[in-house]
Formats: sequence, structure tokens, C-alpha cells
Amino acid sequence: MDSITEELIQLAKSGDKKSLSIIINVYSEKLYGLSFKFMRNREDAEDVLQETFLKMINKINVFKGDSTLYSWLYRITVNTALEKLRKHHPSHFDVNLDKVDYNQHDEMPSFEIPYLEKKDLKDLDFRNELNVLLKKMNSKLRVIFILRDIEGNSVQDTAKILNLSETNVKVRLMRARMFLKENLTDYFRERIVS
Amino acid sequence: MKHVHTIEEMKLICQQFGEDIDSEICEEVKKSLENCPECRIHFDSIKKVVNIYKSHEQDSDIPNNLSNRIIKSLNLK
Repeated sequence: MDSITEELIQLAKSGDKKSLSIIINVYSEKLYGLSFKFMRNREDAEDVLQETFLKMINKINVFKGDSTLYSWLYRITVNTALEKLRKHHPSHFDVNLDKVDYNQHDEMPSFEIPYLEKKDLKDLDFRNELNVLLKKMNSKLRVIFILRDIEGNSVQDTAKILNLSETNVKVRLMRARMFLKENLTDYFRERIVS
Repeated sequence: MKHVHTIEEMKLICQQFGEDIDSEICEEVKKSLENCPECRIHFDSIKKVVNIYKSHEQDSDIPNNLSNRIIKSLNLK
């Protein structure tokens, strides 16, 4: 990342192909990882990355340097992924997920998800289940879960990146965690009982 | 008999879900619910789920020649 100097950014702003290529070389793997987490498949993740860098080429001249170039590209990647998810799953975005239905969770399950060793996490069936659940989750919730719990952004930063209120981020995060917890509880319960 | 939570208890728990599971405020809530084994199970399970996914999502396989293909497709070569 140290190779991204102010001078290189200035050259990129002037359209220098070599500088733009260096930026792509430096950031493509990290941003691909981010994009894959949202899109859940290689083809879409790569499409998002390509669109992100196309936007960078077209807009880098207005990049003011208030944040790092990586943060700027990070936000473009998130927004590009959201645009694509919205196209793929318009129904996910029509649902209001910003209100908590307390009646929905009025009972606590007495089943606890077991502690897992590292080797358990390598089990292919289990990894597949984890992927299936993330794919099944509403895209609006998935984006929040990835940004907050996986990427480790604060609630405040997640809200800024997505242009949402902090309350909305918290409510959606709660829903995302509940979705995964409830489904994984069922998964383990079935295996332990059978 | 299943333990049924009051709306206020549930609201209190729900509000903390946006916080770090280990955050001070969340720890306080957990302490206040020490007499509720179901709540403990619930919190621990949520924490485990987040940790499971953190481990699971660490590495994604990077496609071969990713940068080169993008650079080429954007006519930068």
C-alpha cells in the first residue's frame, strides 16, 4: 500500500494509465474479497470490482483526499455491490427492515450453539451451510452484517458508508444476527438430535 | 415451561445487538440478566455465530490474474 504515493495519485488523476494500473494491482485483491462477501459468487464479485475501478478512472479527478484512496475505493465497492444486489433482488429492498417486531422473539430458545474447534470450521458441509445461509439472508441485512461484524467497521462508520441512521444499522444488524443464529440453531439441533 | 420475556426485557436485549457483543454496555446487560439462563444461552449463541462467521469469511480465493484481467478490460494496457 506504501506504493500509493500522493504523486502517483496526481498522475492517476491526469489519466496516466501506468499509475491507474498500479492502483488496481495494489487494491484489487482486498476489494475483491470485500465484493465477494457481498455478492457470494466469483462472477458477480469480479463484475463489481471491474465497475468499481471503472468508476475510479472516471471520478478520480474529483477525489479530494479527505480520506485515504483505499477508503474511497472501499465505499465505491460497497455502493457498486449494493446497486447490483438491488438489481438482482429488488424484493429484498422493498421490505422495511427498520422496525423491530418484539413479538417475533418473545421466547428464548434453551438450545445453545456448541463451541466449535478450528477443525470443525473446515468441515465442507458446515462451510457450505454457512454460505447457504448468507446467500439466503436479505441482501440489505447481509451488507450490514458484513460491514459491521466481518469487516469490523463501527456502527457509526457503517451508517456513514450506507447513508443510514445508526439506529437503522443496529436494528438491521440485530435482524441479521438473529437470522443466522436461528438458522444455525436449527442446523445443530437437527444434527444433535438425529 | 418455556421462559417468556417481557417486552421491556426483550427491548433491552435487542437494543444491544448493534453493539459489540463484548462491549461494556453489553456486558452490563448480560450481568443484569444473570438470573436468566435462557438469556445467557442466547447471548453466547449470538457471540458464537459472529465468531464462526468471522473465521469463515477470512479468506476468499482470489481468481488467477485478477488485476491483469481488469487492467486489460479497462484498456489500461
